[in-house]
Amino acid sequence: MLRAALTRACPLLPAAPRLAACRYSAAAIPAPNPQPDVHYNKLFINNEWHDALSKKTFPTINPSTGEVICEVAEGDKADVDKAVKAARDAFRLGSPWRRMDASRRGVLLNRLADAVERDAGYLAELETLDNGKPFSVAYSVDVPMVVKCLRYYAGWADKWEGKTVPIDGDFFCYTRHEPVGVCGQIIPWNFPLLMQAWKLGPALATGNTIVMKVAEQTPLTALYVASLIKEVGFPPGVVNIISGLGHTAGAAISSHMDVDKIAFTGSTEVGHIIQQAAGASNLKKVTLELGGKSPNIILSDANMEEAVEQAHMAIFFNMGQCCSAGSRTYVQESIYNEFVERSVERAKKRVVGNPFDLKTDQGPQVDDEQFKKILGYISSGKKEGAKLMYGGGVAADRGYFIQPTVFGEVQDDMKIAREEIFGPVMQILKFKTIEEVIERANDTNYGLAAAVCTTDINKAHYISNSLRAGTVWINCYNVFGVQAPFGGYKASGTGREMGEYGLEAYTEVKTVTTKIPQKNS
Amino acid sequence: MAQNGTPENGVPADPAALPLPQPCRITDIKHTKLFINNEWHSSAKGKTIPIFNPATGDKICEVEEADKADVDVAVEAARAAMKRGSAWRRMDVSGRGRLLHKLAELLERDRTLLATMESMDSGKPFLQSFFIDLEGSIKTLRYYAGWADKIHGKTMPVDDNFMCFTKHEPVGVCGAIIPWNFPLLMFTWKIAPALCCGNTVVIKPSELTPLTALHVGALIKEAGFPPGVVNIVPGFGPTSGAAIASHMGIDKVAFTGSVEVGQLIKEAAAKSNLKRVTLELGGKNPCIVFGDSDLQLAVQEAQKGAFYNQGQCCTAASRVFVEERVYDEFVRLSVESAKKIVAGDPMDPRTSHGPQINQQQFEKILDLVESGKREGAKLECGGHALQDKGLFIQPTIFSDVKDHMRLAKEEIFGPVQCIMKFKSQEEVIERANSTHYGLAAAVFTRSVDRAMSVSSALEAGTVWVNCYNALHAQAPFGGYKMSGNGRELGEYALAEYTEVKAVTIKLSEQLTL
Repeated sequence: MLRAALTRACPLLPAAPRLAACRYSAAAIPAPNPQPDVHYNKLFINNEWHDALSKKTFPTINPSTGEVICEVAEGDKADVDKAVKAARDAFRLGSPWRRMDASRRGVLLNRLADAVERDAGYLAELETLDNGKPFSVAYSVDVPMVVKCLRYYAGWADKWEGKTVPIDGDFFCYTRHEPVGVCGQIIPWNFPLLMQAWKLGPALATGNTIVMKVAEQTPLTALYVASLIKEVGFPPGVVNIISGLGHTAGAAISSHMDVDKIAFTGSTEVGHIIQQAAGASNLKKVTLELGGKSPNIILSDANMEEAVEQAHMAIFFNMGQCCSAGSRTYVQESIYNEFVERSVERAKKRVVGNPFDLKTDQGPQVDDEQFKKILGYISSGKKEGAKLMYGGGVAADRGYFIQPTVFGEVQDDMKIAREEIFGPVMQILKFKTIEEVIERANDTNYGLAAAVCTTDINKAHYISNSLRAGTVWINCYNVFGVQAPFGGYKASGTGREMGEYGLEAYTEVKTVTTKIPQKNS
Repeated sequence: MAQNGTPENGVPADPAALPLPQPCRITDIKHTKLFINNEWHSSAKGKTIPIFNPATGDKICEVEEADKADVDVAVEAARAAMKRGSAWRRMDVSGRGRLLHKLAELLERDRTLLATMESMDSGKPFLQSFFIDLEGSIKTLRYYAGWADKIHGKTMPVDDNFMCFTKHEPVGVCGAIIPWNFPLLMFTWKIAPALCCGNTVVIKPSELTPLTALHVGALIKEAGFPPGVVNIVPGFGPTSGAAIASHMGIDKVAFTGSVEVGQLIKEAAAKSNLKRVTLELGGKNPCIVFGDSDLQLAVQEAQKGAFYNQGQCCTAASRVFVEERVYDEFVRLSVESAKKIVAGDPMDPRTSHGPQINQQQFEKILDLVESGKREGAKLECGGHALQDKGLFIQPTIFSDVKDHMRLAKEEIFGPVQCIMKFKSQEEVIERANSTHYGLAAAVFTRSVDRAMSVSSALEAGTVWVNCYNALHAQAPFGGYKMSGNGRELGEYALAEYTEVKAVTIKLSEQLTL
């Protein structure tokens, strides 16, 4: 997903092999309107717009300025109940959604993709306004990935096949892949549109209904997509979208007795709470996509220029607000000094500023809380003895801008090497041997992503096979194909999203066995 | 395909409330040349084929006739499009899916035109063209559009210190030879999986019905497929068909048509370059009606099986076996129902029965009808040409047909229902399987046990239980025995259009720092 941005940002890299990914050249990006109108700020239930039952609202903030964009309805437990009821009703036996041909679900998802594509410019503007990510990235990475995700899962709708099973005895046995039911989905603010699509695509392809809570920092684009869901013809109640807070609306979903499954993307801390709530309520199925402290291992034989560029993008992309961020850059001793030097040079070139400016690489962090948390990590790094090579401070006098920051001489036991910072802060660590770096890379509770840069085929495979992570990139970083699964080992999550694997989380398998008079092969 | 026409669930429930589509006026056929490299070509020899409307006998237009030399040009174009590093080979698989989707949308846009053209050219009733042929074609394209980026290789846990993975690669240049009974549908059944897997195609539509295929050629170009990816060469079997089957530059040939020609094609493939062969051939399909079935349903479905598309279906229910105790009733209801069939102008929305495709088929069918009368089958209704002029044959029912009669052994490919009597389940299974064909079969019963036992015992690639002609893009279709090789549709069809490459890499653990 991030590949396109990466390519644009690195003209130094050899161009030819990357062209295929570079669909969206800077020239093709239209000039954005930095003040897009907000059309939808209410709860979307049963294909209708509702105020919160409590009439409460919350402000959503433009992180570039700290100013309020607008007030948004604040969904609470009572609204979640209403949404679950709508979703349950849309899921009842004999409903239009349950009786719909699987191929028709695919057609609807394709139409949704077409509608998002039609409104790509507006959606990217709204995303930039609400989230702060550079418009060029929202337009050329986030929105196209949304479209691809919806189209990909559209195709699966009539291909998610059960099997016939040759069991022993005079029986005939087959499996049906049936939807789980009402799916609760709680999504984060770092890729608001994309995380919404990752959740909608597989759940709708497999025939579930949805109650989704969008992040209170970034509710606007998801609500606009809700209007498209209605426009393209999904029956009422199939998708319900609640804007609200985690500890109220989010908690209500995860402990709801009538929600059959919950999918959450966010912090490991909240992941714990959600799985507990699921256990304490109705044992709903849980999938989690949580944090990471992903190692990016650079061997001495790697192509230095590419490795520096990839490591830079691995951590700084999206203001460092990526669960997959390459936040522990392990560099082999013999090239360490040169690598650090070059990484600093690269970080200096990073343009921080107004995200609507097409030259901007880095916008603000999403909100004040994140902003302060990141600055706290930076000062802990300094205190614990890491060497601040570049940045380390605030980058503007308003909004939540932080300088691209590079730490050298980072040790494994420092907080900045153990905890997820979720900001534009690079940690560069030194290693000597392959066995050592594998050991250190795996010495974490996280296991989301990892990468290795080397030109040696044996080392590439040995290391990638040894890393305890759900995704390993070799000589690349942040390459997300909608066709490939993504998810975490260990405390980075449960289950997989994307690819065919992503369908499993949204499916109950039913085994049907029929007694027959006489079996024949 | 018959089932594809039903209104989809979740869409306005009352189809009668929707206005029926009307055929459009076609005064001029735009695309009559060979489609090669996204361009329109005249045939090398300058020959043309006259195209007739079987309902009126009027000539519609002349179409360029491809011959061996033209096939060579088409294969060259397809080879060039398949060259390593070409736009087509380097395209993201999801991009291939997008193109197939666009093509589906263009068919949807031109749906009325295509349905009208199909009816003019093949004689099938317009509403059937619109709701069945076009619906099926569009759905097939959409279905395979979705597969393009889901054809997964695997990684294998091989012994010792190796890594092993498979890649599913396109076969290369795929030849396709398609029949006249479902011109557009067979066209999409061939190109959709082939393109989805990344192949290039040289396709020969039937010389009797090339018009819709050529129009779709223009749509293929409009959708944005690179030049040479699809090449369309209308012509005759013995010339351009034979050239495809024996071409040294074609990697695979897929044929739908008669068993005789299927044998020629497999032979030609073997003699030339051992190209891969898939065949979808004839059938003499048993439709078995048990006494415990819903008889009304069985009569309707069996009749649809016999008369749909004027009986010109490889899946036609051409041997109806009815259990003794309901036999007379079944025959009576069938005759009653057959008499209600409205034959006439295919463009008239009331028409459900059009003309046969041409004089040769017309005569062959009447000859078989005569043989039935001679051999002692009982003619219950029909049995004659319908009018003095044209190629219409009355829906015809024979009862008391015996297994040894020509009617019960040969593929009639016309509107002739042959009803036979049986006593026991074992007996009917034996008789149903006693044929070289094995394309489709059906069983009507309310008993779960019987449905399972009989469907399991029948030697056929498709078995319908309490339905007939229920074909879907998602489900595989193809023949046992001499009804064919390989499967079309569904995920299974992808295997026919891919080569599997196993890559094994030695992993050394002696790592130097």
